[in-house]
Amino acid sequence: MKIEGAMGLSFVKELVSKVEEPTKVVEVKEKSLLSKVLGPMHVWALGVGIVLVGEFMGWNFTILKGGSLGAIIACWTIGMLYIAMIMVNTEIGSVIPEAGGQYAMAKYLLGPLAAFNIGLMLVLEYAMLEAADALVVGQILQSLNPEIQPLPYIILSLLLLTYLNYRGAYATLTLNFIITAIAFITIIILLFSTSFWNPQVSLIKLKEMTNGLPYGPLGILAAMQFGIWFYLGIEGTTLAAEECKSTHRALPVGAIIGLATLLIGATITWFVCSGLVPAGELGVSAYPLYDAALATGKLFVVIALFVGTILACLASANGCINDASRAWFAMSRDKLIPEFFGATHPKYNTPYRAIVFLLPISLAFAFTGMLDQVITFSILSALLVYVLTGYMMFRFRSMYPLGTIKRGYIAPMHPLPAIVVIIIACATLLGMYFGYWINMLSGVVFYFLASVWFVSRRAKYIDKDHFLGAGIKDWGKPNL
Amino acid sequence: MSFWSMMNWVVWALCALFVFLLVSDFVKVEIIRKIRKEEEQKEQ
Repeated sequence: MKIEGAMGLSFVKELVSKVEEPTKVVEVKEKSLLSKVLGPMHVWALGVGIVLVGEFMGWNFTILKGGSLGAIIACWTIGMLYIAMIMVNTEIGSVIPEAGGQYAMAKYLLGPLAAFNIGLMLVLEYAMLEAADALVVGQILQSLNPEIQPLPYIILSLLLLTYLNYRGAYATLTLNFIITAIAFITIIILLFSTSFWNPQVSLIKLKEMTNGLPYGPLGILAAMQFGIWFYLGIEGTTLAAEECKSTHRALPVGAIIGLATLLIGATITWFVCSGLVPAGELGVSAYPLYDAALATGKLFVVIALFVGTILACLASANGCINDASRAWFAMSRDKLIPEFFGATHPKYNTPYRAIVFLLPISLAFAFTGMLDQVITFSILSALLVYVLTGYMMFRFRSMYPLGTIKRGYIAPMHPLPAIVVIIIACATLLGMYFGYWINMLSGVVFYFLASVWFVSRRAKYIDKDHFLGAGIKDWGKPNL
Repeated sequence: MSFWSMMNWVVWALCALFVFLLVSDFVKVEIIRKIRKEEEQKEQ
């Protein structure tokens, strides 16, 4: 089966040549369009909202794998990956103002098969993350009182957020802005409650609490997969491209401020937790920021972090529903999956069928209760998307060199950001392989089988004129 | 029944409410869409 020939770059070339033929006018069909209502604030809320939960939990396994020093090195190394990723994403995303994020990029730069895989990876990444967030909400609430059943709270979280998303992106992401901002402020409250600026009374005891780099450089490599928790999902900002009032402005501003927020938040989180909780305890903690709040001994800080943890989970699940549904909707609109999901709500202009369809999928993941497995598959999907995104940047610069089309943002020092993305993402995959090779192998087999299904069952439904028509009409013929 | 046990039932009730809101609107939209589609087909 010549997948590359049928579904890869040659497919793009064939379509481009078809568009260029003067006798064949390519009619771009009327698309189901989403409302253009979002600004930089919403893009920030989407990106940071999805990610911030990773500062409340999960990141601390970096300490278990690499020690305190290994954790902060992994945090900043993965930070470099995401800085480069945002540069790449924002440059391409600001040119492709279409729902689907990396999926839409792959559609124009790599062809349908890669686009299908990336779309599927995005949907699973976010649907699984959403399930994990809801699971944590249930677990945290149960910690209040053993009589509390986590299941109804898990289901209610997902239903409430799905309903909000169903009613419109503006209200959904405005709420996300508020709850994300409150969750971030609780981290700042924790920081200032330690009196860190005054060595005489400071509660931060880094020398006593930290354990350096016990496993050497290999520990850093192993820690990197958990360092991703600090930033996983920020790239989802591009999925809101179609709904931005001014994509050229909102996307770069929202994404870059969002990443800066996360870098600051990650460093504060490491600093406060490492200074308050002994490394041995911190490395295995379920809720490291909450444990750090307990270590301060101040009730208002404990309450603040309890609320912050729940809000961070809800903000993350909310953003995930938004992103997963946009990716699913975009794939359906291009007929890579059944067209049924490509409709928008007549009143709210949301991809309502995609939103409702993904609810039971996430619930099913949540019902498994296997938080670590769900998260591992989510991270694997994200890393595979990153590697392909790095490659797409090379394609983008070669297909549309600087000066040929109007860009909202130009990534400096190309090809360095793309190379950094590919190298660090591959190194993280390597580190992940040591601990989760069965999960990784299963993931790869899953995507391979999905690709076989796509080529044999769905590829024939793609409307070749419609698939790339809009982009090529706007940007002209690429260099191939 | 303790407060927290009662809250479990309240939350289940809220779940039912949101399912109803989602399903009722979804079904309404689908019915309208189907009627419009049939009308368009008749006009053609």
